[in-house]
Amino acid sequence: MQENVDLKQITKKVYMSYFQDGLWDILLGIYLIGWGISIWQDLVAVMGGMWVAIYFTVLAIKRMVVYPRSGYIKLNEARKQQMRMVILGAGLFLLGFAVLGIFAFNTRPAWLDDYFMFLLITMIAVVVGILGYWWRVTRWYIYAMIVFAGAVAQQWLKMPLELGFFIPGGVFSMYGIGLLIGFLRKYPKPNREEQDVIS
Amino acid sequence: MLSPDSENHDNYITEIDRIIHEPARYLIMAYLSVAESADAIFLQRQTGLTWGNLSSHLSKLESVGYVAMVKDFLDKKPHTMLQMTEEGRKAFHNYRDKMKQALEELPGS
Repeated sequence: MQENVDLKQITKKVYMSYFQDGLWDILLGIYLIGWGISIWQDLVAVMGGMWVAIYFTVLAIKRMVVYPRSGYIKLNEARKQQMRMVILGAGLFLLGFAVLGIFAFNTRPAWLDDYFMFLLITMIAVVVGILGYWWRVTRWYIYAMIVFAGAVAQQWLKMPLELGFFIPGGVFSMYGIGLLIGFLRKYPKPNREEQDVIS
Repeated sequence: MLSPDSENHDNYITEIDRIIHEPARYLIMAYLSVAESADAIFLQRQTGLTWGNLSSHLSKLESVGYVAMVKDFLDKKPHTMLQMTEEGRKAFHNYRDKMKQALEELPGS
């Protein structure tokens, strides 16, 4: 049995348990790869639909694979509200930035034109860092730095733009898959008799 | 003769809730205190208790009214969740306060 019964630690452990399966890492990774593909193949319109499809796929995997193994917890309403606001805020922030970029395509000043993609990728890095802070998942700080490194590399080292998305996206997806495999090994599905002891 | 300080300390000790004082039950209460509700698998995974132990401690907590089983739905299927009752929440906070006071009043602390 665990020795540590410090409530702050327990709270942290409970929230961390939500991210231990690596699914959000995979989601972020695929999202970035999707951006890379849409830039590479000029398929910007596909992005929105793909993002929604992946999001619902992740939720379905959570329900079908994760909860039967790690159990299900309902967070306190205040914390749930906080999480919703962070996700909504991050989404609106990125959407606003993208819409601004599309509508201002012909009128934006030259300096913004030169640094537009650098600023866009930096914004993504900031959002990833903020999500890491709010969700208390420290590895997302490293993700934010990798995304930012991609922004710097495509701006000043003349790395192809799509690689600034493919490389971080690939790293996060692979790490997420590693976490998911570790999770599945650590938490086999409990058998029915064991669970029946409780209910 | 006992000093007033040690009498106080004895009071704190005797007032400590023995149901929650058991480490496994304290741990279960601690996890339920930070959530709205959780299922048995979650508690088993987090506490590391065996299914049998978890079951007996939950029964004890349920019998004194600190924990309640509630029927919920997960993916449109009925799902049993465990929830700390209002009484349980009060008892848990009271226990923590009493323990803190008892430890602070210990001679030499």
